[in-house]
Amino acid sequence: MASAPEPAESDLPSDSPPEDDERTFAAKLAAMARRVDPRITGVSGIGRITAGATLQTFALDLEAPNETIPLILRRSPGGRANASLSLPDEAAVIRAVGEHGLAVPSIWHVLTSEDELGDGFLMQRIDGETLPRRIIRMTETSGNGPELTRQLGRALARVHSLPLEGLPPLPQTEIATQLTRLEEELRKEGAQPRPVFELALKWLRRRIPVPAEPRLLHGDFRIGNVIVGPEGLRAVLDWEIAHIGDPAEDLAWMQVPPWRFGNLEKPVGGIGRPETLYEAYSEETGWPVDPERVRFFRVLGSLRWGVSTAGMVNWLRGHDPSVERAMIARRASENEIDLLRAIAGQE
Amino acid sequence: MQEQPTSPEILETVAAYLRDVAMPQLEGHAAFTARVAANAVDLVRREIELREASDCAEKERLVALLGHDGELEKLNADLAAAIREDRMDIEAPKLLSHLWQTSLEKLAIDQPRYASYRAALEETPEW
Repeated sequence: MASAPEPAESDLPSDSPPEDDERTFAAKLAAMARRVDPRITGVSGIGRITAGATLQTFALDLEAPNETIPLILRRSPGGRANASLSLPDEAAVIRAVGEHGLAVPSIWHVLTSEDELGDGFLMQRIDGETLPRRIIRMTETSGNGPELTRQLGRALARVHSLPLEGLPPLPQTEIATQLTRLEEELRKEGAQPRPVFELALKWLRRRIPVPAEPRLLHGDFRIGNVIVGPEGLRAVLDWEIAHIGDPAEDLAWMQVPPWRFGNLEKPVGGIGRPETLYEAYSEETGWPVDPERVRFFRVLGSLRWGVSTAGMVNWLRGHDPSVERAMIARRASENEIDLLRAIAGQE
Repeated sequence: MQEQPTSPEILETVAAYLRDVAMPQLEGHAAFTARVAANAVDLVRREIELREASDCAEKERLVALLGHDGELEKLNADLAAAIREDRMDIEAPKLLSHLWQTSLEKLAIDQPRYASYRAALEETPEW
């Protein structure tokens, strides 16, 4: 998993509880682990993988006689602020798709108040590659890009065919409402006028598809959120924005050009062809993929990305006057060409 | 007339300093930030070199599309409003090729290595 920079002190919400020192944190982890499994003798190798203000990810090993259990802890010390699922709901979704036969890390424990570690859960730590450019290089060397593409298709098919009963309540937003929200964001007082985004909005408004049967969507299904080994797909990660919607949305997202990592001619995550993905997907689901519907969601994905990038100029002028923020905010033009190419029918 | 060296020449030395001198002496996030800073300096250099001509061409196209003159930002706001209020046909080739050209001109400054930009340079869409 890519490591993120430490957040500045000022990024932390002011109502966050004070952080435990390392020793207290380790002691609480050990106590929690023993409550779950009395065989556990200790916790070792605690290392922070990502450090957001609202979500932290740690790697750690539980020691048991004759066994080491490698785990990942995802936790939020003071609750989650954004639109993501709560961590217990995220764990429930991972459990459900795992029981449905999808390769995901198994959930080891969902934190309770007794654990005094905040909200969160522990899951199996799976070895393998997550960095997109390395995955792309691996498939280029081994020639198994088409096979990995088929595996991604079958994985999405599993997600989309999961019965919704038994899942926690998940967000579901009508397309028209999504477009209205983007419109409001785009037309905020003082925002730079953006004819390309306005055009994309109109284009989308005219093509809102007939609603599909609502399905569970991963929400951020792409290279970067999967673990891959030389033999292929090992697990699907990062379920925090799972929601209910049109399956074509998940099929489109990994084809949005930035997620091709420079490999434009392989629209599926820079590793494969859409036909390969759709064929494997349809074999499993039994329903066909409509490429025009996927294109609609590709345009919607680029527009959502573009509107959010364009809004970052306010972060720069507000609480984050950093060179990184300045340069990210300047990238909305990338989404503009992506939109125009998709509208022009370019792959 | 300004003294020489020119601003782009000076900025080129700043980017080279950040990449070749500062970056190797920094670690972790600071080294990453130095790289981003060098890219930022390059962006500003490209803007100094290219912006006048591209703003001029963009304005000419906007005046032709809208049928009136004005400041560049105002013309863009007018075009955005015309699209929003259905006063401009979003399938009109003249509009689409203007937006295509404008996006390419922005990317020549913002991110000339972006894959979609490289591809778009070779494409002539049939609107």
